[in-house]
Amino acid sequence: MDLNPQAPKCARLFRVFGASVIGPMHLQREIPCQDACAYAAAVSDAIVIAVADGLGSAAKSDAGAQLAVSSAFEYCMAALAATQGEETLLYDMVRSATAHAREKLESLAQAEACKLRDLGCTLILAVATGRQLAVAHVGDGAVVALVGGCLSLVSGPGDSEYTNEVVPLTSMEWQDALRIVTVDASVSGIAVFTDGCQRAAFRKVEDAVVPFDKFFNPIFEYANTVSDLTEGANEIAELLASAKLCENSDDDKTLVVGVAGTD
Amino acid sequence: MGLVDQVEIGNPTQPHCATVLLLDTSGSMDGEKIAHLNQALSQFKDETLKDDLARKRVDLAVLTFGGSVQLVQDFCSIEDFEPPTLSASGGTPLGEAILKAADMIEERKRKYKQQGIDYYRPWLFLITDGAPTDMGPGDSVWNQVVARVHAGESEKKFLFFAVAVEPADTGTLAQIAPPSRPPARLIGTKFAEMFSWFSKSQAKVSSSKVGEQIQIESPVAAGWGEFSV
Repeated sequence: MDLNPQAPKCARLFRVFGASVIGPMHLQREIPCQDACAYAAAVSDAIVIAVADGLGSAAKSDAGAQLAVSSAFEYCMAALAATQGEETLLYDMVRSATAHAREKLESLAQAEACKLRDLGCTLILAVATGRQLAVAHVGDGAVVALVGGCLSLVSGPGDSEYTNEVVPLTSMEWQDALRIVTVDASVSGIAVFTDGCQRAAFRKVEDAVVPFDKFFNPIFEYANTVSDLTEGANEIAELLASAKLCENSDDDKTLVVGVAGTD
Repeated sequence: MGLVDQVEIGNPTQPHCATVLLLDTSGSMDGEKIAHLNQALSQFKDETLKDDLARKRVDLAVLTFGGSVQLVQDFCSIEDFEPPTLSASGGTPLGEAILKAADMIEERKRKYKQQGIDYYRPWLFLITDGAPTDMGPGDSVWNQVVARVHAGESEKKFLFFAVAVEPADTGTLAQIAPPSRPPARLIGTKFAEMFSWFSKSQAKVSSSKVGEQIQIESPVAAGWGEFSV
């Protein structure tokens, strides 16, 4: 269903930037940043965003998060390059990419002779074309999109009551915990972020989380005007490291933003 | 202006201080007093906005009682608070107003808990120049109000602070106010000085740790009030 008939049929998401920033608690304890992200505009008017949050309780979760992100990201970039603009089933692509990332984590655990759970991390993988958005999501963090000018929660943090009860990609139950969402509409903006941003990004209405317009609107507006993507990434990094965000979460923070922009 | 300055936080962890201003707008407040009060409310907003913590933490509501009890401003941040221009007429339904304010505070605390927001002890700040017209010593409303205020104060559910404006019946007010916190009498029409003190007190609360006991400056030292002996 086209949610916004007035919008151009294929808003091309081509401007994408973001950052992972270490949180005050990890700085203080001299723990590395356990968040990781990878993103790019691919061929055939698509963008790929992968974001992961290494579990605080897992010894090598920084390596796990980096590997999960890079392998899922590269899988999708290669798949998009191979299809060369033909209609692709994004649902299958993000599912296979997630399984691929999980296999890579298993291999790394074997190579490093460590337990798979030592690499414990979440994973959010988003692929958007002018016609469709597909998200594969294990663990917390979230994806918010601008669809027809409205903020929409595409994939939420999940319903675990306690933040330390996240089911990671390394869990035996990862397939049960995997959520795949597709949006068959032209998306003009997308934000993918880890749980360190959740307090800033959401309002709580009753027990549900709702994307907070006063957080996202300035970010999407900024993304639509910035021309230098490195400058954009630096601006996001500055925001994530700011006292304003850190007084609400001492965790690592990742935020990646993609917009259709004005060419 | 950078992104940092533009974005707002959806669900901040800032502890909140629920504050209900309970303002007498009965007929006797008409004229100079209500004009001073209106001006002081505006000034209260400006002064509190200048304090970085108070502006984030004070959660303000305004109830008036003049003829009837009116919710002029539901709980909001100082930034969103729009100082009302109050007018004065009618009787003094103080009993109903206090009960409503205490209910609002309970409800607000329930919301904080639901949303995981820490909170300071809420304030119930009463300003009146008369005697209640909806209750009298010994009647059932009176007993209910006095019990609610005294228990609220002793069980630390809220901090009840009453200010008597000339020619208020301080004796009656003293029986309603908690014994540990007798009402202060406003000197003349020093509304501006009083709200300045109130803003500073709220800033002091906002910079404290939740649960910490804070020392509030005496209205006498602040130059706007006195206590009847």
